[in-house]
Amino acid sequence: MPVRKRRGADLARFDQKTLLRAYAAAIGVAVFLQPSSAFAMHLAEGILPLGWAGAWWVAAIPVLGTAAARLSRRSEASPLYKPFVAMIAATVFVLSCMPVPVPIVGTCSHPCGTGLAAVLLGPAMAVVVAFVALLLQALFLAHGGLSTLGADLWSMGIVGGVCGWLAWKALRRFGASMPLAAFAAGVASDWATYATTALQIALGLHGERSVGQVFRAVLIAFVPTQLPLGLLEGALSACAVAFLARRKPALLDLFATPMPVVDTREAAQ
Amino acid sequence: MIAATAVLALSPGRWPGVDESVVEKFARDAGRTASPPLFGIEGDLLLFAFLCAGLLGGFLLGYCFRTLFPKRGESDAS
Repeated sequence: MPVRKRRGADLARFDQKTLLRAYAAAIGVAVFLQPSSAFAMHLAEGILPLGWAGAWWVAAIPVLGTAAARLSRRSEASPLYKPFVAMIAATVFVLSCMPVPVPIVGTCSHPCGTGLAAVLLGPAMAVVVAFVALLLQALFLAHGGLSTLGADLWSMGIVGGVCGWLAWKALRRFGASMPLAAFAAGVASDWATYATTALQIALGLHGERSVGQVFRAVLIAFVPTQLPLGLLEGALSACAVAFLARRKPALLDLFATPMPVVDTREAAQ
Repeated sequence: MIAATAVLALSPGRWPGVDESVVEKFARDAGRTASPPLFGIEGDLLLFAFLCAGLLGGFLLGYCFRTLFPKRGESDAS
């Protein structure tokens, strides 16, 4: 009985400590996210003509459906998968809500986090976590829009995730260290996201001018803000991957592969 | 990033986002303007929404982190 009592007390203390630390993290993030008059980059409601907004939605639905089916399959195979996806989704949500100023230019924007998500979970799951983040922001934070959600998902979740993942894979294949490859993934995903946004604006709003002309103009307008922010996002990704590689390297190999190849319960030990 | 956010919070002027300085500029040139969001929250209510989003996001992040990375002494208890 005393042993059981002590174990119960240990459990209660563990839960209390876990909750306290989670509260502390939550308050820290909340204070950090306090918006000033600055917001960021998602295409807002009504920016794209309805035809283009619908086309991006139609193109996004099959990708999102495939990714969601994969999430379901992987969750059944591994008990750690859902908490890991939830943690990365929360990270992407927090990062993409966070306005970061670029003092030289006098504007601000935000990191995307989908490069990091693609490195850790694979490009398919980057789509799911980007969708969750974008949907919550469009519904409750007046940030982005429901009609433009398909376009935003394409730029941030699909193209950003795939470009980040390709950069990671290419550099790892050539023997680059994990932090360096993660840095490249973060940079590639951020810049690819904004290049895609520029393309979406050019396709939908080129008017009398050619698509290429508008695309170049929008891209050049993004450069002063996104050039340093892409490097910042790369540094964040490198730090996160370096931390994971030191603390629990098994997680880096388990979930970015198409299907689990080892029992994740053993890897969790 | 903390330093950059502190700059943003403490600076007296506005720091327009690229949505305003780039996207909306090109949209205006093309004769389009952003329409109001589904839930048109603004001002203090928007601040509160961001506070709640940060709390929930941070709580989820912290909770999942503790689940995935328990300390050695605590891993037995979990």
